[in-house]
Amino acid sequence: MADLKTMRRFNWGVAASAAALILIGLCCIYSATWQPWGGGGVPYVRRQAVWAAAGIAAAALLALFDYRKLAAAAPAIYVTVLLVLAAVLLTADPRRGAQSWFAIGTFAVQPSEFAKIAVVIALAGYLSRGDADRSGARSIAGALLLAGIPAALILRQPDLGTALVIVPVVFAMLFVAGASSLSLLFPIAGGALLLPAGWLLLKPYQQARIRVFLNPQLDPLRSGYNAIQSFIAVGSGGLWGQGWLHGTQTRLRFLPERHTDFIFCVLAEEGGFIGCLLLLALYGALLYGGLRIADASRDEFGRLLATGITALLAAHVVINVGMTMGLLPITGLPLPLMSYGGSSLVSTCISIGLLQSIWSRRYVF
Amino acid sequence: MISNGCRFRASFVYAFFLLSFGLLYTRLVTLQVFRHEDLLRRGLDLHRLNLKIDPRRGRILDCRGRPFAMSERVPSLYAVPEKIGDPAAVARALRPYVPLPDEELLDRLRRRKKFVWLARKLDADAAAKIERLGLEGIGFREETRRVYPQGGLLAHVIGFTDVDNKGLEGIELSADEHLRGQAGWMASHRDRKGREIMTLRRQEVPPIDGYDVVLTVDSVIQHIAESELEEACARHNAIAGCLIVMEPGTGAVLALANWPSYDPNEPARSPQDHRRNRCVTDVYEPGSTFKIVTVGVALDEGAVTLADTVFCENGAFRVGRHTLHDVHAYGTLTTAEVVQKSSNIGAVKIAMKLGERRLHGGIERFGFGAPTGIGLPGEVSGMLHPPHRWSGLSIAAVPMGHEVGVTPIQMAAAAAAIANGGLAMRPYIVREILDASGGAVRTFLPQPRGRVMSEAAAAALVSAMERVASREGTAARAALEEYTVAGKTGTSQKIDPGGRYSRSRFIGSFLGFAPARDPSILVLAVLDEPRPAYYGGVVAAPVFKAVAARTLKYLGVPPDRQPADATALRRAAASGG
Repeated sequence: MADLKTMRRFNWGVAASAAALILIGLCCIYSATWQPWGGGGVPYVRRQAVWAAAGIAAAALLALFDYRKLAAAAPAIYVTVLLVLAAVLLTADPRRGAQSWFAIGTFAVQPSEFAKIAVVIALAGYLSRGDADRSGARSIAGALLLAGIPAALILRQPDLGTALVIVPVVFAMLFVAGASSLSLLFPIAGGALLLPAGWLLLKPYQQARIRVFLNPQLDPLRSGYNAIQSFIAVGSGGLWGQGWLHGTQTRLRFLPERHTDFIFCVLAEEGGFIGCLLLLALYGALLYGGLRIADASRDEFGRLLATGITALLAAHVVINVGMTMGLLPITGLPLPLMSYGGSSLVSTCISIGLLQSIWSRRYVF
Repeated sequence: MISNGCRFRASFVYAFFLLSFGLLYTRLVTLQVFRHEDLLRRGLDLHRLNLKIDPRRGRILDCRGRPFAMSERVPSLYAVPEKIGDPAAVARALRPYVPLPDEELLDRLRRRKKFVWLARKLDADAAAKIERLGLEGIGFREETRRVYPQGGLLAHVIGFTDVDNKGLEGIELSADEHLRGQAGWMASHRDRKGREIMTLRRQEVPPIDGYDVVLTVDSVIQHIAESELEEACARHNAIAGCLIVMEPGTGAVLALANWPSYDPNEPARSPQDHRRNRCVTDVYEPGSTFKIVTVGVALDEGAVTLADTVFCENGAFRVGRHTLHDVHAYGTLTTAEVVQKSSNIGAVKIAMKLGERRLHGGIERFGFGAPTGIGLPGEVSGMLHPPHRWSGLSIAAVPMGHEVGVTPIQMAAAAAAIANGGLAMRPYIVREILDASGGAVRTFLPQPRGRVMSEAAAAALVSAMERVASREGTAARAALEEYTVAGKTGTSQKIDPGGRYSRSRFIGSFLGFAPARDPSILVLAVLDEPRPAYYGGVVAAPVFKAVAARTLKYLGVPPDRQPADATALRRAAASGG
């Protein structure tokens, strides 16, 4: 299955930037949870480190694994994920108002994090299938349906962010698969037309978030609170930041979800513009590596898989950082490799493992 | 193989990523570089906490350091309404402890504010019970509460404060700047829930505790004064009463009592009428007690001597269309006898020898018509018309204490001047201001106001006043067994709403000092509307006697007279032996 030759063809750039991001994430998690009067800090970092180790192990296994075997397994993976998502809706008890967790032992697993990768695998398999017309209208409709069903299940949890993050991924994969720009405009236009109906389908709190995004001062103490606080945290950082463990917004718990979805705020406040610049550069390197892997792939499945994985990562980074800075409405999306949480970290590691698998087999025919 | 088209498309995706990142960078620069200052300040505004530290309000002490007023630290209950999930449930739980109507309590819990008071200055055990309820969104802040450990004692002088410890009445008001101290400030930070982060607390300006105010009043004498006054008011059905005990030599007030009284711990429970310090705010016609002023001025001006006689017209003297009467018909009386028997006609005739202008000038010198400056809020000037506004009848009214309005403190201060050999001392009630360590910040010394009569004239007048408290005087009931007493009774008619002198509403008063020649204390007792008995010699003289006897004994003043029965006993023992 694996040989030394493929091992040597390891993509160090992607691995190094991912590792650096995990380490920065650990520092930020420590700062976000540490309390000057004791408690917090270490336990969070320890748990995240355990997950990181598990993620790296999974990534290593997948790097050795031949990704091409996934194309055949794609339908099975896809169906399994649909069943798990349905099971989550039926069984999980509501936490934080959303039924997105699945308890396995003492761990709470978020299947939607893994479902995103499954959708990418399924789409890559579907769009690289043997028959002709991979980029025609029927194919577009099929891809949309394929992505739409799990997205709808995730939306039911309700987890708007995770459901929405799939949309740019589908379009990126369709685009790279060769769908004509014109034909892609149809679903986009259709989506735009359906926006008013979609608005009505949103839960009241989701509607409030969007209203507040347009004007955060509308309700600064409730729905606008997160937006304003994260905004202030980022701005407080300034050029050089307030220093590790010295961010007041973080320290005084004004920031909600500061170690999970709003981890970027911690870095922005304590690391300043310079820190953010470095962080985004690391993500840029990761994404650039992803696209290079896609480009280097010798088969359509690998190319689409790498494109989808990279697009998924990019969408997460852009949406998460964008919402933190008030560019986008607040949706609960983790920042890959940085946010505290095992499901997100392990699933991201898995996707990077897949990228490595594709990269190391770029010369294999 | 990968087509060129596909490569183009991949680079298009790449360009899209770049564009997105470019947007993020732009935003980062905007927030972190251009809007940094503004956002940093907004953040600081949110969590920077300036805590005011209340100073401890100073105490009010009696002349021996016993506290009349002090401050204790107590918890106050507040709510953060936006943190309260179910205001109705919280209101139900708090109802037994919060002295607010139910709707008001619920309304406060529903206000969209970050802070509302629910109950200021709770008892410690009520606070402990509330704490045990473990309610979200309510908390305690320590405040200081003013307490008056001696209850109603000296209430009219002490006054009280509002809920923010600001003086509203009495010494609490007049000495507020000394008592209140200066608030300190503390800079701290609060977390999202509004809780202070103690580790980040920095004291910037420490509070300066208020100064203690030491009064000249002795709470033992005050207690004697109040209990005797209350008993006399009750016995004689008076509607009100005033009693002042003063040190004639210094003007220091040893006791100042008013009845009815109130409890400054709960001032709102008493009608405003009970909270008035009548000794300085109320004006009455002094009646016969004023004759000592008239005779004093005449003696000082040399218009009469003590031995000069005056014909008292056998009890009826016509002045203009008005006929003046004495209670008993007298023929010829010496000046001393006019004082002793309180002859109206005699006093008026002496005043006529003096003339309006000299009489008025003398009265003014005694301090009437102007506040004494004792330093208590609400003191009034009384009423003394200038001579050009006197009617033809005034010369027959003013000498016997009609047509003049005086406050009890003015009357006491004037009599004290006579007792003090003619030298008037400004009455005062605050002796010292002490800082927290007990060092004197300010000391108030006895302050001579001026000489109102010569020492000889004063001595002559005192000897006349000594005869008042004798079997032949109007106030035999004022005589003390172990001390000589000089005094003067007063009985005046109150003025009816129609402007005429009332035939049923009187003021009975007595002022006296003892020992007569070297007085330690002066006591003025005034009873308002005593009935049925109303003569000052009957209703007020016994109050003097009781207060003076107990006070002199308490002060350890050596007796200057043998008790009558003790002498008798000794004589009996001598004859038996």
